[in-house]
Amino acid sequence: MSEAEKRRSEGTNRADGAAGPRGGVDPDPVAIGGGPSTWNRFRSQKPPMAGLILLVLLFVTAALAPFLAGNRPILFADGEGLELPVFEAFTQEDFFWFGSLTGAILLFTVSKLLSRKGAGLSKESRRKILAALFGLLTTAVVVIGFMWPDRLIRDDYTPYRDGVREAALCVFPPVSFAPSEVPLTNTLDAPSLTHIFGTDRQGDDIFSRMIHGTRISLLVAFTAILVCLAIGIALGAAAGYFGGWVDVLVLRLIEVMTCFPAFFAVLAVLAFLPPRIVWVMLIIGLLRWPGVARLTRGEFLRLRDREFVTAARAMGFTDRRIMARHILPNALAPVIVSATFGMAGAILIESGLSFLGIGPANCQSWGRLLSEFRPYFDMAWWLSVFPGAGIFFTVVALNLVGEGLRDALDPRLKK
Amino acid sequence: MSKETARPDQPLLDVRGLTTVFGSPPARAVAVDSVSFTIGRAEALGLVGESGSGKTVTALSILRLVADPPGEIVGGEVFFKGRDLLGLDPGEIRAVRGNEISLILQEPATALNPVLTVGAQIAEALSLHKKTARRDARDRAVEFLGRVGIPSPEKIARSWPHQLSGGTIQRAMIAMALICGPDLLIADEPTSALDVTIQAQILDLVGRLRQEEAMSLLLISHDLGVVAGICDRVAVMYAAEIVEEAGKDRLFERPSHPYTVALLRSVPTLSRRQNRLRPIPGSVPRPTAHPAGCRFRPRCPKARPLCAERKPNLEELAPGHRVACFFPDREV
Repeated sequence: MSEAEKRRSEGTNRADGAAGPRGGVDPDPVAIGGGPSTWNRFRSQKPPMAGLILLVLLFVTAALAPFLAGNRPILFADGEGLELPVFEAFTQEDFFWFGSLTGAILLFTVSKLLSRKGAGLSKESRRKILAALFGLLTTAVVVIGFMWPDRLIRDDYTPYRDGVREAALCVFPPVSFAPSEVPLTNTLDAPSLTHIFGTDRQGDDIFSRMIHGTRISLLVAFTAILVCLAIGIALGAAAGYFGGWVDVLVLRLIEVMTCFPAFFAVLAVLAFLPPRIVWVMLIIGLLRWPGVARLTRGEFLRLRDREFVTAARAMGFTDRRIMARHILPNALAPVIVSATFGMAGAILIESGLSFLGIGPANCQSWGRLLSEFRPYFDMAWWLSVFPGAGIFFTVVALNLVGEGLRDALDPRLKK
Repeated sequence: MSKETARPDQPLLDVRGLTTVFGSPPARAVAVDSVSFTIGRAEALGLVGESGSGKTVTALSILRLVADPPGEIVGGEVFFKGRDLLGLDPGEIRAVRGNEISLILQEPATALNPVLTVGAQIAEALSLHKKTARRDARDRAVEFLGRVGIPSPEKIARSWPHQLSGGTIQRAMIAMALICGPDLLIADEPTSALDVTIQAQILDLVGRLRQEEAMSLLLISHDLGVVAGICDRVAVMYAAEIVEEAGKDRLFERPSHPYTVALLRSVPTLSRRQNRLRPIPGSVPRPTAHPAGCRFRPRCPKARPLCAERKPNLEELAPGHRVACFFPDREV
């Protein structure tokens, strides 16, 4: 009896529906479904968890940037009742970030509440409620966001910060400097208690600029990877599933795309486009999909001859349904892992572009911050060290999460 | 069915000259060569043969599931309720698959999608073909899991395939195949991967459900014993061709093709006193290089010069008993 046969017959004796005393279900409670056990395996690894926590912190920082760094008080009272001056200068962008964080927290809380034992809801209805809530929140954020007014006249609160005037109550954000005040005093100050990461050549606080710059890095990473995944999965799935001339076509396209050195292609294309961050994100995504496509194709190729796919075809399911519902979920693990690494790559490309001075001049990105240090490299080390460290740690965090995911999703490690 | 043109005397499934090949000319392999057989309503046909004789490809060809490329159905007709399945457009054949004709595959371990629960997979077919609401489909799935003899079907419906044993999965596969009430069930070696006690239970179940549902059955197996249990008629396949076909009792009592005779001798029996099994010398010819004349000739104890020159056709030896041999055994 071969090893495999032995295992199979043991399995059969143990848990067969008719013969086994346990009613055919493996009594292992951890192994219900792919989700929880994957999460448990991920959670047990320390470095990836550290990376994940760092990424969550970055997201929170990006969403709460005006509350963490800015020159407008969060709370202000001077005789005429309590005011919230931060919101006066709240831009559309601020609102989108703030709204998505609030939404995420709300969704998380509701899902935790629903899955408590006392709620007595089936998994399906839980999923339905969450999906409805998600739709509602997204619509709300988008609708309110687009109606959000951009107020042009804003009171100046800096005298209260600088101690020139006094109010009954005035609570500033922890970093009480806006990223672009341009005071033109205190230029190139070394890190001190007031400016913990120092100031740049215009006297702006580096820490404040970095907090606001988090948004660009995260946005670039996510948007670029979404574009990447959309194109890569669609083309890779079609190539792997249908084979034949579709496959040949996609493969040739992948080969052509891989021949472009991504960074220089981005450089070249951006020279012809208006300098907006959206273009940077789109183009990074458009140039980096071949990796995702190749992985997806390989997985589809491997899975399409599996018995469960033949069984699905024998049940009369359409190709689209088989691809989306039966093959794709099984093919996703390596794709997600590579997407995480791809996000790190996108951040690096954006930083590199900004460092070279390509891309929007008005945007607060870590790469742009880094590029400003060039003329002062012998006198202001803080201009390079802090933004550089920011990029470094974000990229490392993404890579750690990617590796953790790879190990957690690897079926060979399943017990 | 509006398109149904079947008369009562017409067989449910009528396969005529089905030919399926793999690859292109220099290395073209003929996996199914002019195979013809019929299955009547509520009849069970067993298709028997060694590994590589083309049984599985025959089953897949009926539902047009042969991967193309490399496979291709190059000839023949498959009439099902009077319609030629090979001529249907993709949407029409999908409406037949799983709905009017169901297929059970041989490897239960990989036949269910690992990321969907068993119940969801069974219900999916029902909501697709019968447009049943999702909740009702789920209830039906649980009901069918109960019918195929799974204890606590509710619990199994919520389980993932990796939590179940081969026997339970094969039962679930049967539930999935039967949930749309098909007229024909094709079972491709449904028990080969299971151990003997489970094998008997599964066969029992298939036989019982067939009677209950008045469903036709095409049972494919390399094991004559499996077929003997539940089939009315048996067809024997060798090297991509059917070499003998007869009612079950007649085939086992009076096998006429030397291959069938040899096959029966290589099976152990309890009823007959037998000192040692006699395996068939040699092996099935490669499908890229079938010998000229009778394909069994190189291994046949009765081969004569004629067998190398011409190929014997499948001819009627007695009513309902067809054999492709120039020198069939007329008495045993």
